[in-house]
Amino acid sequence: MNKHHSQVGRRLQLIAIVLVAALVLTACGGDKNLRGGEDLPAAGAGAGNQQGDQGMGMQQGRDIDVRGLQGIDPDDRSMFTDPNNPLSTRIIYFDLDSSAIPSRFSESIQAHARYLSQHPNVSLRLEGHTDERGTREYNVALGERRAESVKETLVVSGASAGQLSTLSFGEERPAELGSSEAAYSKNRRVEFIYVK
Amino acid sequence: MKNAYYRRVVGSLATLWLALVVALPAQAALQVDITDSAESAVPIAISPFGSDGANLPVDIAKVASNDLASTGLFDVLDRNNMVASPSRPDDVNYSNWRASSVDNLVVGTAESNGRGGYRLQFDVLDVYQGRSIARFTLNAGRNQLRDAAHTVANLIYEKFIGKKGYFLSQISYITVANEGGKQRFRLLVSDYDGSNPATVYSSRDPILSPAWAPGGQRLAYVAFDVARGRTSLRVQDLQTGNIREISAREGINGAPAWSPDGNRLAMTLSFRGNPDIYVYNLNTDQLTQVTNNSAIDTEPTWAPDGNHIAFTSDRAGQPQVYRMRSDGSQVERLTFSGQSNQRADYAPDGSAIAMVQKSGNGFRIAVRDLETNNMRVVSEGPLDDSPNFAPNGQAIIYAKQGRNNELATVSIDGKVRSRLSQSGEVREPAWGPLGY
Repeated sequence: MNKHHSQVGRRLQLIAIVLVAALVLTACGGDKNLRGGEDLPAAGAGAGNQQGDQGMGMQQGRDIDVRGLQGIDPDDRSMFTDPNNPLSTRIIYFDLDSSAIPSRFSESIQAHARYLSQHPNVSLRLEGHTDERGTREYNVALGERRAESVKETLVVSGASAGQLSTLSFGEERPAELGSSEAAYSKNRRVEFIYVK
Repeated sequence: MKNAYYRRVVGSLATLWLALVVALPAQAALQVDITDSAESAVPIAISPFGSDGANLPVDIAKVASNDLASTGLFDVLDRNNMVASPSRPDDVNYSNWRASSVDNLVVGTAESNGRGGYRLQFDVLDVYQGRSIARFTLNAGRNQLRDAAHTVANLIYEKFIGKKGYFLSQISYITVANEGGKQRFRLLVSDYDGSNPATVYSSRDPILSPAWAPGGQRLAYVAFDVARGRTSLRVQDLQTGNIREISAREGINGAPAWSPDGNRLAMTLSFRGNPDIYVYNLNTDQLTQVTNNSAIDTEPTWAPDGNHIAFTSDRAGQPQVYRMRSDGSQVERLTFSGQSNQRADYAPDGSAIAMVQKSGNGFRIAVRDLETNNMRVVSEGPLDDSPNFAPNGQAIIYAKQGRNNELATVSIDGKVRSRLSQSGEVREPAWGPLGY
């Protein structure tokens, strides 16, 4: 019994320490972040960054025409929104578990590479995505590999690696909600985001 | 000396409790439902604890009963069905209790200890033998009765199950809410059963992969910063809130996993062009690349021996679980059944790993015994993720995806199940250390 007594006494001291931690946490908590846990800039608050896009990954039917063109000279933007121009294709879709770029996107990728080589001050971010199946961090890696695959093709086609960056969301920002193959095929993608 | 220290801590607690009541977050707590119980559940009744004066601020028997019932390993008698409510062994009329088929009865008291706190004493009685089989005594500060009640449950659990109870442990998880058409991600820490949730970090951008440091004082996780086009792997001190950024390189900064000594973090980085596993030493800031393969290598988990790391790789085509020495040598493939296996988590004693197995069209949690190589599927699918062992190794918490995004627990034999849900999406549970 004595043994139990002293063990429990020691345990409760530890509990007290844990409690202090939990309380400090809660006291600063509510909807506020802890010290140091500052919120990230709100949508469009960053200078010219993807205005209106932040946190809208779950929203369907967003306007692809204005999205991702902040880094493009306003005079050039019509080239990227004209459906007859290969530059208007700014999302590449992938097969299941694959980072190989389907051949139907070749013409568009060549056009983007050409534009980048002619505009060396323009920067393009390639955002990789997957569908919801499989584990989250593996999907981050798969989305990254898709973005890297597009990046390599752009470099081979004349863009400079310094103009290109990648960011993989994995399954975190589906373009379409739902667990159907139709939704999944829309979610396995790389989006072209021209950043300032 | 111990008591002096103890009182100091309790004294500072008194002020903080007030803050807790005022600032209690408007965060919904997870609700626990047992969906499957063990057939051999231990029948037990915990009689209301007696006191020497005013009503106790915490119903000790109720808290402890809920703890034991939540495991599915105890068949806890409802208070309304008890034949009496004795608080001392001498008050127990054993023949009355035998008639109600309660094999085990717990009776106890919580009385003033003369220092502003409580002295708890309780007996576990064998109803058929008509005697006490164990007696425990513990001291609690004025505001520690709830934790004392969890300790009562831990002691009963250990008495019958032979393993330490996890009723003082915490979990962390991520919630996603739609607020005004925008997503709001939160990283939360709560008690093991979802009560007392507190926000650790909140963002409109995704938060991923929380991982408890050994000891439970720090959490590693991944925060996206979409406006700046980057991700950040960081370690946050839960006591001070201080955030230490570990890596914000180009590409992936992901999948943090603590070494058992808490001095190193394994992680996935892709700044060299391909996702590989690296080990970062938190004391020396030294970064070492430990896999170098053109395939995806990710989701490291450290073996409790500190010498091995299991990880996911698709070097053979589909993702499978591999194991290597923590310096990257002696890589061997561990999984061959199912179409793919990924995101391993080591049992605390190193005897098994849990993982996500794909077979047919479903992703389910599977447990592989590392001695017998037996592989057991323990969840129902279809989209299960993020398995994480309880700190005593007896249960696994995981996330269910699809129609209901909620958490679930299952005993390692797959027989006892519960779900933890709240309105909105809950994902990526991580179970902290025992807490005592």
